[in-house]
Amino acid sequence: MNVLELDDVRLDLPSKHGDRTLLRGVSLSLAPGEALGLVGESGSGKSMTLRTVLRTEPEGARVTGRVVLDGRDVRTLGAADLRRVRADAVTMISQNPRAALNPVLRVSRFLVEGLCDARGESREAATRRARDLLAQVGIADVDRCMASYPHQLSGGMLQRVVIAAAVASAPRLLLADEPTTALDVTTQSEVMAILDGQRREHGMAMLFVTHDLELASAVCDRIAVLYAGEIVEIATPAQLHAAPRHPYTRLLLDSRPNIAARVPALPVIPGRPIAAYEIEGGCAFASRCPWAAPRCEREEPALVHDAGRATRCLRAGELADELAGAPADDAADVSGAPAEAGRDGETEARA
Amino acid sequence: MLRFVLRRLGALAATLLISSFLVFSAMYAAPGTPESFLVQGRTVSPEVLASIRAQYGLDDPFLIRYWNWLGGVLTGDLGESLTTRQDVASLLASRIPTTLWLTLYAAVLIVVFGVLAGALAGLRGGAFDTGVLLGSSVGFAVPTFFAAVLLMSVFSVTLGWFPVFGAGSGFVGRIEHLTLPAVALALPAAAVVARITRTAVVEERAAEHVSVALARGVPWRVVARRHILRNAMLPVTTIVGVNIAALVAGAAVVEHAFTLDGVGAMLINSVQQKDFAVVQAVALLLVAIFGVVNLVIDVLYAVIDPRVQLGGESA
Repeated sequence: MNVLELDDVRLDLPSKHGDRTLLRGVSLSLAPGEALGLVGESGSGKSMTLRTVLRTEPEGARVTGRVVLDGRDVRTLGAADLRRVRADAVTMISQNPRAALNPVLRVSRFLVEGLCDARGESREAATRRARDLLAQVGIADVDRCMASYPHQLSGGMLQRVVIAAAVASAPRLLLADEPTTALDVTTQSEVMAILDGQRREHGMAMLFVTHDLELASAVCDRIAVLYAGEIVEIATPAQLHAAPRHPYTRLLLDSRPNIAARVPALPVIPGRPIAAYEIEGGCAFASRCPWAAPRCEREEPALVHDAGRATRCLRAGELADELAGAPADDAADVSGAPAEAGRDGETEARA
Repeated sequence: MLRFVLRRLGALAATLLISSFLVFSAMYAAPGTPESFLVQGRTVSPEVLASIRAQYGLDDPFLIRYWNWLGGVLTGDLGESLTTRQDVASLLASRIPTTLWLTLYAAVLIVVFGVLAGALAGLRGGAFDTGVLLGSSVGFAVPTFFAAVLLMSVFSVTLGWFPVFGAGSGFVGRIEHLTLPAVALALPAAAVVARITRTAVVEERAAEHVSVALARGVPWRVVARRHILRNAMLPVTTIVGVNIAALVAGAAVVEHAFTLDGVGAMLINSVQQKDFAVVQAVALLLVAIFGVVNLVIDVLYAVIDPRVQLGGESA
């Protein structure tokens, strides 16, 4: 049985200018121990998707569809059951560890609280496990860390504390919302390695939100690309890099800066990302898509599953070869063709 | 912590020294002279006037007079009242209990009702929240003197629940006599405190660490107590402190309205009579109380917020 299954999850947020649709029917599934990356631009609905699982979406948001966790629909749980699910089955690691901890309480309180107050474990047992976990996430001076206030620790240290707290209850599912974005580049990989190590060790499934395709490729088994509140493509990192099937994925891959070659200007995707509520029918990406045909403006594409991957594009079949080939320079680049030889091979090696 | 308190006590002493000078000189800057009050409009011979001036040292240079007064204050001699010829220190001592009781009572009312109402309004929202917002607007808008008269006419005259004047004796007597004055005194401050508390609680509720704690399955009442209320108490402590310190000054109006024989009423009387020694002593006392209350608040603040560094030492 899958750990998590999202079935046609839609989210509307009422605002002064009428309802705003943020998610337009997201469906995905997560097998036990599997890591799924959610990749997309800001506003594409990645974080919102995560929040529907823990039911921490903004106040007033209307959510439809089913979010099934271990066979139970979280969206229909009562307050007591929801609290138990939050305490036992799912934990979340947010972007900014500094905001996640109460600034006036010691780290030990934060760690113990998740076990003691949330799960009813004894204070001694909770403290003991908190100390073990801090050591596991690579904190050298456990005593000092436990006694510290958040402002006395670095961002990297704090995120380790948050990771320790997240794995403490041995949840089935870990929700990670850009867990390394707020950190220094040098600490990023370290923290990511710790997170991935802990996840594998405890056999937890992970839904990993990031805008960093490379990072997602490195730690995830599959990647779902989101655009304007819906999934446009799901595939393994290798499939995605070798042969993307959605034009948006292709352009995302092309707009990564290449560290090996200096280009006159970074390739960008033309147009601006649109939000889900701005779509007026047809393919959401049609207005920015260099391969758009007249029918893309009219017909709404469905997510088509095929051999373990899925694509939401009307022309996926016709474009398969073209998208899989060399970077679409004419479309993605605003200032002429940069030299991009050997790019695919290099990505393959990194993935 | 000790070093911080000592340093703050030093600063308080400096503040008192400076304000003592201001208090002393302000009386001389005001129109009218003490000797003209002493002779009370009678025409007296220049010799008598000269002897009066000599008796009170009014012919000495200003700084000498200040120095003599300051020396007296430091040794506990606050001088002699010009009107009653009584020792100011003992006069003050007889007045302090009433004011102390009144302000303590009002302070308790502020903390209990202001903080409680604000916290509940912030946590619950809804109709209670609207009620507190409305009530605090009214409480803040009504002038203390008017509130005093209103309370008296309703609860003392019409309903006869409380005595109209006097400070009462014994614990129960004092509570009975001081309830209406304390309510009148506490009303505007409690309104401000309720409002600030409500805002602080609403703000804390929206903090990310609060939603993180809830998303971890920590029960709501624990989150409310440990994360929302505790953190909201930081700004509330400051505002409560300032308001309590200001009560001593505000007590003047209430004591006057309820004819209580407190320090505030004494201040008003002595200003009207240009009773130099008394005004100076009371003004200095007010500054000292304000300073001490603020010092207590600062220390308290450092205890509840570990991010505050006391005098460079890590807390």
